[in-house]
Amino acid sequence: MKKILLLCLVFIVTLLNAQDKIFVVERENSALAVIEQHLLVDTIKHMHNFNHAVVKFKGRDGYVITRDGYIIKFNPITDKIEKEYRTSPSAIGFIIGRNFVAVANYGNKTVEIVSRNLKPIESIKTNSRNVGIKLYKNYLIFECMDTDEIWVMKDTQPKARKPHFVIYKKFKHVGLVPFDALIDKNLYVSGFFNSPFIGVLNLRTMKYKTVPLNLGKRDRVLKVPHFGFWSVSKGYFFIPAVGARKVFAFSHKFKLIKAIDVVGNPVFTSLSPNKKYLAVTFSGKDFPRVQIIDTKTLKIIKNFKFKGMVLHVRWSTNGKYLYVSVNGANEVLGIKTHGWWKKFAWPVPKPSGIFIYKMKDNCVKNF
Amino acid sequence: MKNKSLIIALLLIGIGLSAKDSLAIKVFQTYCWGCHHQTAQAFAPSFRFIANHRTRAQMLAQILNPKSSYKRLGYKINSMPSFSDLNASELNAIVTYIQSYKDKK
Repeated sequence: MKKILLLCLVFIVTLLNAQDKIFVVERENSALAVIEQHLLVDTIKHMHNFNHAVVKFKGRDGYVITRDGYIIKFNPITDKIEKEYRTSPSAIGFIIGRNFVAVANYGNKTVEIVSRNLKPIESIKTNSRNVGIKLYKNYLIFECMDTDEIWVMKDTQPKARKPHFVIYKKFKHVGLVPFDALIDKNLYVSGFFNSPFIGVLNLRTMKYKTVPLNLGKRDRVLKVPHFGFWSVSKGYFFIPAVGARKVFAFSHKFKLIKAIDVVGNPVFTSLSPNKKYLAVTFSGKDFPRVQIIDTKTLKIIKNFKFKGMVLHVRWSTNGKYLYVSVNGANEVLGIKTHGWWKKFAWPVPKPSGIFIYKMKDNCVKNF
Repeated sequence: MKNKSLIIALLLIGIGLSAKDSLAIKVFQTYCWGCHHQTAQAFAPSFRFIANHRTRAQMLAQILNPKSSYKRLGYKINSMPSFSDLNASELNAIVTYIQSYKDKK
């Protein structure tokens, strides 16, 4: 009987925990709103300047990078801040390794390596603002925005308690003003603000090549687009154009398949978990709009216009919902993808980035 | 009577100022905030840096015609588009807003 009760309990907890736990950046409030079981349940406060804050998870650890250069470690299960460390006056991105966190800074022109508990390990001076930080095997890769370089650093002691990175290879004159990158297996793909091509670095061979983009008529760029791993499907790389109302679909061999015309200048291109749909957000006057592209036909199948600026979107892990951060209307919406209708609306002040912690993976197995 | 006039005058100035502020915020959120942050370095320099290092005329030149202005400001490359379509009120409001971030001595 006891065994049956215990099994029932495990089953119930598994069901409860199967939901995504959603963390939403409150851009003006230095806070993270917490949504669990489709309810707004908590707010983590006092997190410094949250303009352009980014959240990532590894195991049971949550990390946030802030506009004013803080890396903050928090517990995504208890929602408690555990530690913080300021890496520079302005940070832009970070990546979490097994035994370190690497922060790409604008301020101080450095990449800072800290332990998983935020103790400083080493500071890499680059003489540039740094973006597009990624990991591949024992390599740390990033772009130097002011010097048009890609740096590949190698961890010379990957089995030790602390990493030690040395320059393995520098790629110079890669393109004008690299602003972000995505990584897919061994391919590191760079976007450039002032060059009409993308850069592809094969990390297996360490060979670099450029792939031209036919941008056509260019608009004024009011927001730097973002790349991300979520733009890589089985068949395509989806690349938002800079200053053009297009999303490019490339094959994995970087043959242009289609330049998909969209309503405005794209910012985020976000693929659904089943890779069937691509959600696209925009800047400028088209900030309130989101378009959904069918990745099979490469045609737009749905147009949304919200009550205010949309700053971010995120698909639920099971793909049943598209979460939309409507900054201009102070709400986060849950759009049910079966039928594309609004099922949830959570009042979150000035929301921007939406980040999902998979409770099932990280909690139930430890039950 | 004198007091009443003074209060009305102050109210009108207050309304005028807040209208100016809201115009500046509107211009900032429509055109600037994708690249500039008020106090921190972002893709573009912060308003605090600009306010502390440039004159009003330099700011206007860079907003209206950055292709002609960027080298004089010490940049090797220009990433800023022109905003020559802004009207005089919008230009005045945004430059005043930028200057409000100047460090107090």
